Amino acid sequence: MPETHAADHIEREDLMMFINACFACTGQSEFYAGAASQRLSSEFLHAYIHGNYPRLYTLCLAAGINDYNKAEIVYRLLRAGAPAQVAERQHEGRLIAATLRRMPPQRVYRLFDRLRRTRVNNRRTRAVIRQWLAGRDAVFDAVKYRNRLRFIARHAHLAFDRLTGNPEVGEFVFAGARSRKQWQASLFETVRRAWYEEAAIYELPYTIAEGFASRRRIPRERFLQRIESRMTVGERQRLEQAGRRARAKLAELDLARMPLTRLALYILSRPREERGTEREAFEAALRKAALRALRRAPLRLPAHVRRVCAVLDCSFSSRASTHKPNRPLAVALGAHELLGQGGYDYRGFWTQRVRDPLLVSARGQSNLARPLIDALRCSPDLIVIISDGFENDLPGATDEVIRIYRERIEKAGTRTSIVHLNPVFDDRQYMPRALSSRIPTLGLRDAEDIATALGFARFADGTLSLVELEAYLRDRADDLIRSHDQSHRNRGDKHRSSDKLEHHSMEAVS
Amino acid sequence: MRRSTKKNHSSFELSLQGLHPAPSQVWGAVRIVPLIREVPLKDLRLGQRRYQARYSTVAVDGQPDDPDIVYQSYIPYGMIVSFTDDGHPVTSVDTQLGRKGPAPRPCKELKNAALHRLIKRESKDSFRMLPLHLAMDGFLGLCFGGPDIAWDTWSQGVLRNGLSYRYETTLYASDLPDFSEAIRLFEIHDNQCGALVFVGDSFASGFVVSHPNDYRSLHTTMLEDFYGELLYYHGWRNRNVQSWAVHLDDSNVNTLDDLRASLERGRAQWASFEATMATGLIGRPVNAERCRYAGPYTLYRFATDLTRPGEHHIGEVMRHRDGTVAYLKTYRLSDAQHRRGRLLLTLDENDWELARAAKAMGYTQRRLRQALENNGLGRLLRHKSAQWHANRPPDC
Repeated sequence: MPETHAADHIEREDLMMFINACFACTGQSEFYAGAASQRLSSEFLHAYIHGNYPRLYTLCLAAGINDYNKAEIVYRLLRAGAPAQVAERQHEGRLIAATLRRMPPQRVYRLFDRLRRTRVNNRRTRAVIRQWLAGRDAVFDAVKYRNRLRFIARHAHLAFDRLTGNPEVGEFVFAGARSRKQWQASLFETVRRAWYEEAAIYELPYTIAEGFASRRRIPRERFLQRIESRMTVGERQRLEQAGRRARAKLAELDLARMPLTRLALYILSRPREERGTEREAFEAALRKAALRALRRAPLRLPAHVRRVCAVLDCSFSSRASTHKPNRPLAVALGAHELLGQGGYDYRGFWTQRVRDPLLVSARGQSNLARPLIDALRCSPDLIVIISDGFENDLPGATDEVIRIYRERIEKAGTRTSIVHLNPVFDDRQYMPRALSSRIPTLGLRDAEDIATALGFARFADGTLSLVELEAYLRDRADDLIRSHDQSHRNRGDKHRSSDKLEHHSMEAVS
Repeated sequence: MRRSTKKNHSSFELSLQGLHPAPSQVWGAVRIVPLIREVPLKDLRLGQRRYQARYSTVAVDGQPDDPDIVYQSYIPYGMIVSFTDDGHPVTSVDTQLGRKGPAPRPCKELKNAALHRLIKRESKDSFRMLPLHLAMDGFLGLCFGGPDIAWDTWSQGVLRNGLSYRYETTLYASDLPDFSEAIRLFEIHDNQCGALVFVGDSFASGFVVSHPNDYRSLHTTMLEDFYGELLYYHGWRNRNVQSWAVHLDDSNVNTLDDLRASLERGRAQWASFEATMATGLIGRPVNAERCRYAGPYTLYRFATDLTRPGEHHIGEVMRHRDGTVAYLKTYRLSDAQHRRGRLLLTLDENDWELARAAKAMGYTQRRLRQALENNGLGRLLRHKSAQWHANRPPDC
């Protein structure tokens, strides 16, 4: 249903701009912009959308955006206060609870701390904090996030014994591990012992153990080797480099369990010789990760799509910055693998001549027009361009190629859809930079989120209207709430956090 | 006294033979046009040597501890040039000082370093030179000898010691707006061997090397060179240089092959158009002094003809016998620097006789004196007494 009202058109465009920005922006430095200007633009966007379209702003929590922006939305909603209507208030509350439940706990604690620092303390905020903490393992959090818990407890007037049913938690959080001679809870007792004996350190979570180890000046390689079983998957991956430098004998990194983009980032961080020697392991791991991602979020392209081509940007700007090294290139590599395993007739075209994608590196100029023409030669049904949008080997050449192709070369009856997925947020344009206004541009968070991004493509190019966008977001929100209620009911056993493997679970991951 | 033998001097047209331009990349006030070499030159390689001193003194003539002429400047790096006579690729390790090469020799932070000669032989097929300082030394040494005949216009110091000291002030690359960012963000092509840098769309500097690997390791040395203050003003006046979107010619395009051809044509036209912005230097005749032979290549330092109006550049170029440019580095003179050079050259051509020189420039003598004062060369003039000024001839 095409839009007849100009205001709806603008509203849809604003929302798409916001959703795309929330896919791509992480508030960190990119290649062409620094962290401060990224955050500034992102904060402006949030304030603008929240002020103008508050209901849709809330619904964006379920759009599949990244954790940085989810935290920002929850913060602004809590700061603004509950909506007036009861039904909306309940809906928003459940959406916030579902979102927080799925976010990594360190981000949630950081959000609560931000609420405390900016003195946001309404009844709803306190209720949200209480409810979230009630669903956590109090003893584990008291050990791992003790300081934050203490500040939040004062801010939100928490009563630990009523909240957790364990009288020791409050005393541990406020008085410390050494305030008692003996603790009932085993983890508290371990922490107390760790002040006096070294062996107890290796039974604690990694971040706490690290503090004790530096106090005792334990040599790095001995510490890393012995604490390895207590690291989460994310910590283990992050410390791979540190382990090599300290020459610790760490167990083999389990590549098969890494998510696709994280695995691609790891592979790109290895030198070329190692990528050559470990080729089978890396390729197998990439394949498995792509299949796993496809199982979780299948591509679901329209039925007529048989042949898919991708135009992938491996120019120097896909090196991004030291905050997120090689991220755009990793997203491109992950997308190449994912689309290749999707069951379609797939070919990928890079901006450089890449014979072996495993050995790809960020080099050369951004020449997207040439691979686009090569892709068009295959007459595919869908072309996906993955690029940061800064084109310099002929600026605007992609736009011209698409224009001439559509006007003069494309045969009537066939239609090649072209979509631009952009993992980088351009702070000057308040959205991921567009290569051409003739094709929809969408933000891309991870390679695994291609399906989510493509789901929004129809809204970005205007084939579907604002009403349908709102309905789509509402459906996603209802799905989120439903799955949260489901897991809420099964809350007796384990906490499973679904999105990213780097969440903490109750037992340390080995 | 500086001796310059006339037989080392020649004049030729500066060209970019062997290179073709590619589409530029723009950041803020800075535009960088890459120069691509289809066939890299393997028999001439350039490497870097770092110097840690805050200020360096080069003994241009004489011994390092007892120099006749010194050149002083902030010299953060020098260039090692290795070559072969017979066209075989250079194999010595010294020139492989890229990012992955051997670490630079550790050297304490010296207050003052002493170097011997601007071009110093290291072995039979390599030498160390100081890029851009070689050209600047040539510019500062213009007419360094001073007057041969003891006219009473000139001060005693100048008559005895020649120009005795000449200095010029330049800016760091970080003073130019957006320059460091532009260099950092630049995406280097695979076969790129050079770059033309424009600040505020006026030609600032050309840099060419012989091999793409050398270019990759020397690209960021553009941040350590010096630039004239003219570029500072141009940069600030034209803070956002245009980056146009291309418009491809779509007449007669009916297939993808036609589209590809149109794209390539568009690229070539675009690149050559941008390179024409450098015609202030490229394609102009320059006065060159031969400094060194390096196998089939010759190293010159040059300056454009300062007596003519227009843009003026000084620099160094290394040319093969057949005219291929293997190495180029240029510096754009600011207006004041050009005026000083022109004044000195005119005086020198007229044997330092003030009346003749003034007539050659179309000035009165008084105007010429004023011009010397205004351009920082007033110390060359002998201080005249008040009586002289009261009784001076009318056209003085």
